[in-house]
Amino acid sequence: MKKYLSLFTNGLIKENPLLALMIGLCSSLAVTTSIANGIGMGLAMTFVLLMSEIIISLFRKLIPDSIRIPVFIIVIASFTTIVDLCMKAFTPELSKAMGVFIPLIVVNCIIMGRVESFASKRGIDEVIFDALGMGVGYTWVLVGISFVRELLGAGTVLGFRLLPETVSIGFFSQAPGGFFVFGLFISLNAVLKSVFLKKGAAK
Amino acid sequence: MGEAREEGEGRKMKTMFKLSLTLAAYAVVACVGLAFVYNATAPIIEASAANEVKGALKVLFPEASDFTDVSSEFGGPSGSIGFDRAFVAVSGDAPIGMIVQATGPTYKSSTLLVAVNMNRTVTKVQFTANTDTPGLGTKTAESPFIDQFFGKKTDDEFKTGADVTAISGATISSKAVAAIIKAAAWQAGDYLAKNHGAAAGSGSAPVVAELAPFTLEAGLAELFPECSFEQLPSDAIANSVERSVVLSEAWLARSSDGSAAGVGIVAKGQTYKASTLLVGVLPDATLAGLRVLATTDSANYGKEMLSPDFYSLFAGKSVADAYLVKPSVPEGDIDSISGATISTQGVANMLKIAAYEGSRYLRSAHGGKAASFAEDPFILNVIPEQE
Repeated sequence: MKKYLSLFTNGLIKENPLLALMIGLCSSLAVTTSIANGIGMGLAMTFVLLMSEIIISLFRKLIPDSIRIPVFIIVIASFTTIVDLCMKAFTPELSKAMGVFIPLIVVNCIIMGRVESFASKRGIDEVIFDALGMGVGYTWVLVGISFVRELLGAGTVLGFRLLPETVSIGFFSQAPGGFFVFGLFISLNAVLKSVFLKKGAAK
Repeated sequence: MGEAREEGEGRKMKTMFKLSLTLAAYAVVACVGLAFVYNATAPIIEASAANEVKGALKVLFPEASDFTDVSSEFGGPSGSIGFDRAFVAVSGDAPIGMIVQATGPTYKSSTLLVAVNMNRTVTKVQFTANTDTPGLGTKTAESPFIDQFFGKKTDDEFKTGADVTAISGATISSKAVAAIIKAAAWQAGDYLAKNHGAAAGSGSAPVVAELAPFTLEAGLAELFPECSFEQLPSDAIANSVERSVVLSEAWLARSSDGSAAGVGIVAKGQTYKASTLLVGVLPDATLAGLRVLATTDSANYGKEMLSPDFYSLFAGKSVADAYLVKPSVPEGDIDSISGATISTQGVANMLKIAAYEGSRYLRSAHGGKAASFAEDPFILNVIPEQE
């Protein structure tokens, strides 16, 4: 059980895909202008990651090594298309807000990286916890960044106005604001990491 | 040795075959899965897209209960204005009007939804896209400009200065938007009258003159009617004045008795972008006229040189005239196309050079009349540098 817990928490801070591994950044900067986008993108990504890792872990012995990359892409692309179609059908508003970034999950390095380095070598039980850890790690960062950007950039949280329009800072809704907040989160993660690692060492 | 290699190749083939089959198998499974998901979601996606359109239409026709898409049977484009989509608004079973989405050139381009009721009255107009200058042309989408169209009859004139008040500083946008609304509203009224027994209108479809350049043959035939043409050798008429204008071709027009009726000269040069003109010069040192063969200038501005209102101004003008454009030269003799001084200046310069060279040729080769030029015939318009 402890093994699974550490697999899960691994993705949250220590090996957080965005803040520590620093992969899959484009979409995270592009869609994090509102919390709803952040949640939607995070969930879509987590779903694709989880399903792809499960399928590839299950079939890992049936995938010839020399064509593993094309097979991974087929699997990832299929799940991405499924997510895209479902979002268009059931959450059209969200799908419109995300635009091209949902189809672009296909080329998100996080998924390819986890599938290649983890799912293709491990059993399904470990893989599920890894995928969930990475997915939640991705999602919390997205939601965190978009919370800051939506609050400061638009003065709202999940669409509810908290700050009057006159004090909102347009910079945070723009791409440079995204980079700025992202940088802050990297340092936040570094702090968290050192705290957790110290705790571990003290034990 | 040879056998071993053969065996190796055979194994290689086998592996390749096996790998392709494996990949194909994965692809097939994925496709089947996707096909199921697609089939399940496609109708929902379609329905939500249709609902979204209807929601937008409902804003224009709140009293309608449903909208029928009649885009495919609606009339084709009217000149430069295209009709993208058309919907008949229905309340219960009875049609109560229609909405047409029309796109046309304004300062840049605009797309509008125009709602017309059964009495051929415009009830509402809404922009869906407007790429004009923010703060000027985009004001056409706002009140009070847009409000003046509500309640207008489709047979009204829709003319700026007459029954439409233009936005100051955005006359071109205002004029063009009025033309788009008129075209869409008239077509909608016509469609309703023909298909749903709505009030019939008077007048004919608004003609949005599509400005098209002349071909060389058509231009020559208009400038020199009932003449035969022969091309002059390229050195017969050349530009000896101003290097930036090229006189690329010259055609001698002969009337039926064989005498020289004039020359048509093809001049290429810079206007706002670039234009090719056909200048007709008569032996009496006046112009037979001007026709535009090609221009890449901006729509609604320099492109207006394609309009008969502009090019027909020059027939009968003396080749010795000044060809200076007002208001840059206050005492000039050519009125600028509104908002397109640079284009007009370019045309005027080309015109002057071609006229000068053409009359010089006619005088020396065919006994044409000498023009009495001012001391310096070549004061040209100074075209300001473009940003």
